[in-house]
Amino acid sequence: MNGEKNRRIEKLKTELKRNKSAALALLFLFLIIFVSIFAFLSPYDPNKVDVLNVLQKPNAQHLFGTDELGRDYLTRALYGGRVSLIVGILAMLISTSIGVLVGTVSGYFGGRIDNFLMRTVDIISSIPWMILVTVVSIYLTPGLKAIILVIGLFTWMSTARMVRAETLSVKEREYVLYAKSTGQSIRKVIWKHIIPAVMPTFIVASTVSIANAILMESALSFLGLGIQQPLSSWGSMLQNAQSNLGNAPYMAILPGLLIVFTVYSFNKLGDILRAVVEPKTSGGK
Amino acid sequence: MFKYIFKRIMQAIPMLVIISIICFGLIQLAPYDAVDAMTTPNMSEKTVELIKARYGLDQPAYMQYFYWVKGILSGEWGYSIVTHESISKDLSVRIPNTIILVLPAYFIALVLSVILGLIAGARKGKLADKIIDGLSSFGIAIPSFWMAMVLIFIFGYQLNLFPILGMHTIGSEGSFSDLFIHLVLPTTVLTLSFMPELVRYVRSSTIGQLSEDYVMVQQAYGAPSIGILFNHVLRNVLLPVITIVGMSLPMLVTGAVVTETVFGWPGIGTYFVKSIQGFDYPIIMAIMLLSSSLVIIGNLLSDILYCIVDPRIKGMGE
Repeated sequence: MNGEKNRRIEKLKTELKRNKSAALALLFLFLIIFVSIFAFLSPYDPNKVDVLNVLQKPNAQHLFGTDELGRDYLTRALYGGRVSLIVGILAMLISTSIGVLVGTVSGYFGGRIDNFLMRTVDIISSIPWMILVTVVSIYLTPGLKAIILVIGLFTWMSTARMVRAETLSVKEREYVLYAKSTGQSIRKVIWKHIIPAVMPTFIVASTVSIANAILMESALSFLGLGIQQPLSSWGSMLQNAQSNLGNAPYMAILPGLLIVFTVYSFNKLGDILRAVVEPKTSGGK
Repeated sequence: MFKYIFKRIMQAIPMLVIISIICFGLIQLAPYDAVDAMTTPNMSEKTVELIKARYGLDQPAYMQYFYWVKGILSGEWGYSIVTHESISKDLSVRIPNTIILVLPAYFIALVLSVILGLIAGARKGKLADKIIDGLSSFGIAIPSFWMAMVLIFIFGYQLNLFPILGMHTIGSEGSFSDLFIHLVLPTTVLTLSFMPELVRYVRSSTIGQLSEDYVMVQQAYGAPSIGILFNHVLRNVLLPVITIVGMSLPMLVTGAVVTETVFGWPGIGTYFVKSIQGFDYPIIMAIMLLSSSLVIIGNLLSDILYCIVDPRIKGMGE
């Protein structure tokens, strides 16, 4: 097990050396997480209205200018990043947990349980996500909690399908059959043997699902259905920027680029992890 | 083959029924009374009762469900609670508007993606592939509304080349050239946002095809690689693309929600967003029902099409 771990770390290193854009993406992720954690070190209050300094162009005091209420834009973007990342990560945790649970149970038990769970997956997946998520969100009070829940609760279907397929092959392996025959409880077999074996699959899926959650959040907030004032995320900042596009185009640049690079980097991270856990894809051919 | 098609249709029907029950359930859950859509505050109690009875709203929920389904099937989709307009009438105006936006965009994206994907797949690891694949993975990360804003700023505000809002200039509603210049920016945004995933798909299936035996045989006979690519690989790559095209059917309705909102395009997307903001439940559920039915029908169509074009499909009606 330990040797396996070392081998994977070695592989990660060679993969990063080989793939420069992936290394950059990883660096960017560390940086963006770091600055959004330490956003409070900024000399400006993200919500403080300053009527004397509204819509200032980027200058020495305000590196990225100010918005229509005179708030420092860079500070707001950093706090916004915090919101976007929190939504991405928590929604991913919810959706991955449900996906892994449904996938392993479905694959392990098979038969009727499998049939029922997979038909449920089919039905939920047949409602376009944009429609599903907005429809559910109108039954909740809009805000941070609602958006995390809505995205988390309705994006687990692809993870469940992947984990199920993986479980189907894992459960026929000898050590699992042995564990079963020695009379270990079902819960223990799933928890101790199946889930560790399908872990690589869902870790890759989860990095991609952070990226998707951030994109979904930004689209919903842009439509005014997500994060509400005074809290802001990159998406809701862009909603603001749209109404000021004519006189303050710089407002659209920073949050947009941050979304693009963050989503790109999480997707790249998924690619690296996939190459590390699946030996087949990393080879030259 | 017919057995398989029949089996697939039989699977799709219960899905449609369940989706319709979910939509109906959500309408029932919503904090409003369906009769509100048809009454005005100054109607007497008696009139309201009469209307209720006429539309079956005084009956138990399961009966109402049957009335509702019957209505949907006969094109009677109910009324907006905000504007009191007939939903089917609104939809019949809005859907064509969305289609003239989405259909050309999807078509252009598809053609470009097949070409770019084939090139990238054939030149795997080379410069052309690095550029195409790199741009696609960036493209996936770009929110369509942000791309729209950038284009609006450059081509609308700075260069003043294209209109940035709506479908027509007031006064020239019938003019095709006017419609065309209004289409340019939103279509560009949609095309660019459809492309990255399609390119990646075509690229990976080209790579898969190029490692097949028939390619090696052709190479052994000394066929030029361009010839192999277009005479043999292209045909096999297009097969799975058909599946994707089928599955994109719902895009004709909900493929442009965000883009339409940015450009104020009077299609289904803006209609939906406005009804969400106004808590106009009958419209919301109508669109939800319509779009999910299209997903199910789209999947069904793509399976059937695939089965027709590629009779090898595994497990025919097993």
